[in-house]
Amino acid sequence: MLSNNISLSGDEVLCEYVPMEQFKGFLQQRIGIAPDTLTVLIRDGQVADVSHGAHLSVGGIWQSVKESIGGSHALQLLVADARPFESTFSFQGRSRDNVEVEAEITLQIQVDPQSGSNILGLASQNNITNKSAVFERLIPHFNDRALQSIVGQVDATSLRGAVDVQDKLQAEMLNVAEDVLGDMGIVVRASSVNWAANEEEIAQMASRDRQREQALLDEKLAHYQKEIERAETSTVLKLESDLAIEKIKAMSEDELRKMIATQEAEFVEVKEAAKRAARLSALEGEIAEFNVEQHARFDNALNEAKNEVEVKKIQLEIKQLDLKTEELERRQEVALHKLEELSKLEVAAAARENQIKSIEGLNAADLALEKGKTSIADESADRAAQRRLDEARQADTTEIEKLKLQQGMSADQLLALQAGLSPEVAAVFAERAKTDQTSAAEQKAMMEKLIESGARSSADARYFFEQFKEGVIGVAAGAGPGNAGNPAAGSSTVSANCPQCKVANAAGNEFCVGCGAPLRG
Amino acid sequence: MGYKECCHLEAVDPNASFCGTCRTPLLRCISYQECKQLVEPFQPCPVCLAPQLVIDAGAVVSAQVGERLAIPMIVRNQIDSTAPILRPIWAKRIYKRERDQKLVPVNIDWQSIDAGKEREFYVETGTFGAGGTDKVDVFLELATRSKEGFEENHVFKGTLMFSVASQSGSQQVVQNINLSGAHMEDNALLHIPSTNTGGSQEETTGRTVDQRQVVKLEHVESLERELGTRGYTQSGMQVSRAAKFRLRGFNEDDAPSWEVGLGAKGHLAFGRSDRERSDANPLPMDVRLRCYNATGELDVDQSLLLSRHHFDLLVLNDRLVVFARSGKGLALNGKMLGSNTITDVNDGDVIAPLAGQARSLSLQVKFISDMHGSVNTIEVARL
Repeated sequence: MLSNNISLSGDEVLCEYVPMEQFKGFLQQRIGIAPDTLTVLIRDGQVADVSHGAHLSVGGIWQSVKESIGGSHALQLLVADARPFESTFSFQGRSRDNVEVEAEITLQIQVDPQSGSNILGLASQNNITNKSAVFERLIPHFNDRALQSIVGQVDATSLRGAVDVQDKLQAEMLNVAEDVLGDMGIVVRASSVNWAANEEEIAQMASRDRQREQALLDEKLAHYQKEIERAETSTVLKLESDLAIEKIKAMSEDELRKMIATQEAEFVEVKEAAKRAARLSALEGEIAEFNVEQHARFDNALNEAKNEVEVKKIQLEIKQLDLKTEELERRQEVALHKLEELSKLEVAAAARENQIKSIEGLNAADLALEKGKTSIADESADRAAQRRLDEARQADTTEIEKLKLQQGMSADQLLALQAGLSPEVAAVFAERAKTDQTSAAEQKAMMEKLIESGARSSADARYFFEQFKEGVIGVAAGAGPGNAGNPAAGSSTVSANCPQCKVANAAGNEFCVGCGAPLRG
Repeated sequence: MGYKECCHLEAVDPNASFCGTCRTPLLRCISYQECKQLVEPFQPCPVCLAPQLVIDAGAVVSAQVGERLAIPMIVRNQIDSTAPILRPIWAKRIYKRERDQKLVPVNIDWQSIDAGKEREFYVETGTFGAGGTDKVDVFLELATRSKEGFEENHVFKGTLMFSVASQSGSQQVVQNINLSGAHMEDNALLHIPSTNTGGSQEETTGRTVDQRQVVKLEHVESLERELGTRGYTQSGMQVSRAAKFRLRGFNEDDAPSWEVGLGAKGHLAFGRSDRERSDANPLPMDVRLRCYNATGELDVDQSLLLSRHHFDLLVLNDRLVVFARSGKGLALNGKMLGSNTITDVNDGDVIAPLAGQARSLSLQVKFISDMHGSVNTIEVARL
């Protein structure tokens, strides 16, 4: 079997038909087409197959037999270049500011691989269709519909480097290509625009060149001027120094010495002045720095002082707390020691009692055994129990009588009783307190006086109150109602106020009645 | 504490907080104006709370195994109706406890006992399981109330003894009854000789008491904590009425720099008013509450939101409590307290007098106790 490889006639060919008759023969032939070539197989006037590359079998005996029986098919084979190709064309137009612009447009085109059969629209039955035919169709549309319309909206100096303009141009060109050639199986893959320098740009470049030259010239001028000044200065200096030299030459030795000394002094003075100035400015800097430092230090110290006061307060409180804790611990130790001693005593007493009881019991048993008269022991025990009962009853009765007595007492009487006055005196006190309508301070003062007087009977108490009424026994000044709020005002002479809570206390008080602080020592 | 004659004399002055002679803190009863009594820390007032527990006449006090008893009991308020001080006793709860069992509430339908009066209730025993003597403890949770409505509650215990005859044979029945005097501190013990020595079973059961018999009451402090009547049950702490208050974080003029007690009034007053008494300020505060801004200057607007007398701190039932006097707002740990309410304050609690306001002022309470749980110092720190 023979095989043939088919390719396009030339590089410029876009598509062409392959004559099939040359392949029909006795022997079957295989046709091979490269994969970068698009193949369109037309059978009986209809597109039978489109593929990239192909491998066909044509002719042969069996094919001939089939055709002789059933008739032959009309076959056509169109091949097209599936590879992308590009071309460049030039464009001339006018910008918005009426400047002539030129550009070189490059297009990259390819047969559409998705709809390759559409290439049939471009293919010529009898001739080869070249790639240039595509551009010839396309370019006129570009010039009018895409390029000029966009360039005419932009100034000449804004064309180069304007990304938005480039994007617009490319998009427009692709759209135009789609419109013109889309149905013919051609797609524009890419486009680019290369602008030539237009008049405006050339003018701008020239202007900038001139500016640069001018700047250069100005610099040179300044340089020359400086040179001239320097030359003048040095000339003056030279002249002055020449004059000075002449003068010096004319001077006597003394004058020379004097001049040198003066100049040295001036020089030293200048040097010293410079040093002083430098030192002064350094000092100023140091002073400013020092000020800032001091301010910051002062602020810190102020804050720390506040904290320190707090800290000191807290430390003081802690110290006081420690002292109190020590005192409490000491007291606890003493109390514990006392308790221990007491419990030892109690235990000893209980043990002694138990011993006595057991001995007594033994004795009683012995007596009973010896004498054999348990009834006598019972009787004496009964009598003892009866006696104890009577004593207890008596004690209870006394207590009950006492309480009955107290039941009839007023609160003031009870208080007076608890303060140490006898019941009769307490009764009189309560009576006077009620009738005289004295204040609490006055009551306290009176009670103190009563206790001091040692009154035990109601007659004594009444005599005391008579004396008091006549003014023989007085209560200290300040016992009036105006001083009701002052704890110490009702009693004897008021002493200084408490150093802690400022409450006035009576003379003789060892502790403040307001806060309990010690008043002495 | 142990008050002496000098203490009672000093206590006549209503403003005295300490005895000037022996420095003893003068702890007054919450109804001192009426009873004129100084009280010991953690102990009841002997005048305001003087109950008596009595077994009524005719009560059966003996039984046999398998039987149960119902004992008629009487609680009496010992203050005589002719006395100048007439203070009722409030009965909060009554419990009974048999052998080592749990406390069981006893039903009572009354709540107060007027001076000189008495109230009755019954104690029912369980079934006696064995012969011999048996006992039932009776607990009375009683309270006294002041004019302001403050209550001090205490628990007292009395013990009832029973003789229980076994099924067979006779037994010697010995009955011990604790007879107290008219006051509670008496330790007198009266032995009533046994009247049945080996008698028959019929003679030893169903025996009644001919006359009323007093049951000695004792004050049970540990049960008070267990029941939550006094002190703090969870922590086991109890605040002494003699506790000192340490005030921290306040300006110099706003609070005393030394440790203060509750004073003669029995409470620490907090409010906007000054601490000095004057014609314009008849009710001075113990601690002045003011609001200050970040620079330490007085914030007048905020301070005016505080009441002149905003709240009090006092000790009731061995607990620190806050008494909200102001209707302007007081919060404890973020929870608003109503006006004229008393609320317990625990260790670490925060009191906010201006709760809900933009720049509220807060006070934190801290208890400092000894190793036995008795709080002797309370620190109130301004946050």
